[in-house]
Amino acid sequence: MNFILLFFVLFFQIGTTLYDQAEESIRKNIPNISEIKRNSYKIDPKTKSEIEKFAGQKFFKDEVVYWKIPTNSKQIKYAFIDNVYGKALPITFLVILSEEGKIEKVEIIKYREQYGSGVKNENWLSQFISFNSFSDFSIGKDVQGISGATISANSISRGVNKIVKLFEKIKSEL
Amino acid sequence: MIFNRLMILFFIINLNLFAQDDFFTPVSTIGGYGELHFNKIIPNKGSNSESLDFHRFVLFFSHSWTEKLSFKSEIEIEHNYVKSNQGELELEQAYIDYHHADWIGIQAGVLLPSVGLLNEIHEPPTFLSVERPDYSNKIIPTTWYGNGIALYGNYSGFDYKFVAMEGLNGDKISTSSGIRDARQKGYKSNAKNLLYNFRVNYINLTGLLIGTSYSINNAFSLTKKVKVNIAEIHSRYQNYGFYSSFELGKITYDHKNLKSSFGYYFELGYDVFRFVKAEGELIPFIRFSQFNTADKVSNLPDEERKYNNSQILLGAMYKPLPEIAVKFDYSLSKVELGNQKTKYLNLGIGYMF
Repeated sequence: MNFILLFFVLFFQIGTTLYDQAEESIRKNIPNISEIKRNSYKIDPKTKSEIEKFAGQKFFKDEVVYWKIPTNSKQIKYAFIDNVYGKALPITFLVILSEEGKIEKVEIIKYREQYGSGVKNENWLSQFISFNSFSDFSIGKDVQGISGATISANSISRGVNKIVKLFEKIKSEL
Repeated sequence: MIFNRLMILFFIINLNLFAQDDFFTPVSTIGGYGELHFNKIIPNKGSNSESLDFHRFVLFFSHSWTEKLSFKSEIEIEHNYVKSNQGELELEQAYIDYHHADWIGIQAGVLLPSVGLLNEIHEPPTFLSVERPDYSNKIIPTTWYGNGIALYGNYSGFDYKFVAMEGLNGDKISTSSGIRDARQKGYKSNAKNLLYNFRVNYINLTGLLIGTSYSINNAFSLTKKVKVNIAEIHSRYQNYGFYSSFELGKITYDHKNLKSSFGYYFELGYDVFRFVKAEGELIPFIRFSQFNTADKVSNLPDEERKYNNSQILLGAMYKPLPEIAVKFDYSLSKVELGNQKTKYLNLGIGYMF
């Protein structure tokens, strides 16, 4: 019976939040960092509306959750976790940015649907590395599409674009 | 003691089913797609015909109670208006989805068998031509839907789906349409002989999707059951401006006359806007197809030539946004029997959201 309980606990992955998963990913991608603190930033309506119009996608909420990460090299890095909608359900993703706003990593933290899971592919996500707020996030140009994941690929690309644009505008306040 | 542990077990399962976090709130969503077509048919004998048709209007509605339990549906009106034997109103999808984890989920309701590139994903901006490829009509009869259950998942780049659903009506299998008219479309479907479908795709190479499916059914009949096997392979490459698809399928039948249907197509396009750095995409393309619903027939020798079609199609798709497509294509089709040639000119506009 104990084994069955253990199996269910492992099978259902009780106790791990998406924040925990995101922090694990941050630690994996930025080695040797000490304690990191999660914060949230409330986006003012004007900035929110400007970015939404530019990227062609709404923010999931009025606020975003982020980590400010001091590193050994005295550089500060930032990580944002956010949601975009796929065909019907939200996709949760993480973006790690340098102090200058350059993308260092994009990772899908949670995907919840049958279709479009190709966006989890690390090779596809690595296309965003080095992009900044001046980059072209249009699918089919500097970002390649995904066969069988058109809606999810567009959503993620727009969602990442929103984060880099937002960072550019709010970095002095973080 | 056992009772206590069972209670803990129940609690764990329940906690998981209804677990919520900051990244999920129960929500209803709508989406949809549609396409307006202008079709001109120019036969080598007889008069031309021209038509304007709002071919498909589809509304997608979903509700998620938890991030694992959701409902998804699609309702479609074909050809704008429904009257006896004209137009269609169809419930193409309506299922409860339990997405346990990336590697396993289950669906039950009206759902789609996973056969070929277009049966599950066929929003107009996702394929190049105005009409769906003839292969996706004559050999794989999209949109093919029915009542059943499905298991699906994704592991290490392999995306898989297993479907058990209503079978085919063996009395409606024919040399002219293969299995197309044999679909029950969920209408009080006969559940005696289920159809089993399994598909696996590999999706971990950027831009490439490659996969295969196999389906088997002992189609019910008033006389003798018809054993049907559908085997197909498919691939699509979409990278660096290239857009290419390939599908090949063969259906074998244990039927009194019809023994097999066979077809394939290959298409290649390129986004020429990459040369001029223009907004959106403009993809001229070429497609070669060959299909024959009566590939092998016994006792009716002319049928094999009567339904043997070959086609070359030239066209272009312009996408100002990823969700909107304006399309044009021109094709020449040849039927082997009598060397009948027909030209088709199609224009279309489609959308998805």
